[in-house]
Amino acid sequence: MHSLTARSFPLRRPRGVLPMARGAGPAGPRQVFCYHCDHPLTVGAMAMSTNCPGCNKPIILEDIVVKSYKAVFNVETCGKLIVKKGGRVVAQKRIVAHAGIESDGVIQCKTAITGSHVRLGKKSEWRGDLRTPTLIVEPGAKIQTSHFSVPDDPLEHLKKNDQ
Amino acid sequence: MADPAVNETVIGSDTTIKGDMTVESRARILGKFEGTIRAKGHLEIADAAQCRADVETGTVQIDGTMQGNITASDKAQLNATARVSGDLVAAKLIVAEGAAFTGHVSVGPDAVKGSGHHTPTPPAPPAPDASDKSGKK
Ligand SMILES: [Zn+2]
Repeated sequence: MHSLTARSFPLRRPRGVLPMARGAGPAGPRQVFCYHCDHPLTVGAMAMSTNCPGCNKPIILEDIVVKSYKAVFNVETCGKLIVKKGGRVVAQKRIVAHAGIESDGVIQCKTAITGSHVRLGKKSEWRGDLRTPTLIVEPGAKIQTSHFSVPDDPLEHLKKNDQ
Repeated sequence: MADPAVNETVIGSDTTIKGDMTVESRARILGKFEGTIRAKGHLEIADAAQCRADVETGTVQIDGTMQGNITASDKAQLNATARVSGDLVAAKLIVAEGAAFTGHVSVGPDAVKGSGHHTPTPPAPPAPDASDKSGKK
């Protein structure tokens, strides 16, 4: 029985935060990790959401695009968080964007964790702790006192040499 | 605006220096440095350089390994090979893809104005009275 009709996942996407479908492309299945329990799962290239087989919680797979003021509790996606010029994200708790963050607007959060690069554009503003493997800051970006960790321990190679 | 003919202090790749350095114009570190650096102009920490210092400068460009707090009144540039650990205050920050960094960051024109706590400690605090040994440390 083919019951592949749109199934409404009980997703709690923050109000006013627009999801953006991933760019059309013939890419095959991709592997993502659940941001609740780190369970790995394979999803279709165009999948926008699913339920984690590990914790059974709903997870968002698509990119989240913000173009205006959005105050939310958490921003969580296995895709990217894209804040356009004029956009402002105020997350009371955390931002998790496994595919990275691109900002030309304002981001305020308590902590942000990404699995890919973070780019802060020249007109962007940032406030909140950040853990990311790669950071790109363009001249002109404003950062209020925040703890950055890019990646976890940049002096790891020195410690190895000392031993 | 930097005059290419201006004096530049270079610490060579086979040199290790411990102490406090004050440079009026430009400085380039290719070797190892420990202490504090105060450069009014431009400071460059080259690819293989290892620097364990608190730095106060106009602009700083880091390609090597740096441990310590950095205050750049104008611009801090972390290139792809930079490995930095410490707090950073700068009016402008450029981080290239691949640079590694950990520490507190404040960036923007306002960040530098209110950054008194990141100023490197002066080389030797003058003792008010050398004969007074019973006083505080
Ligand atoms: Zn899960």
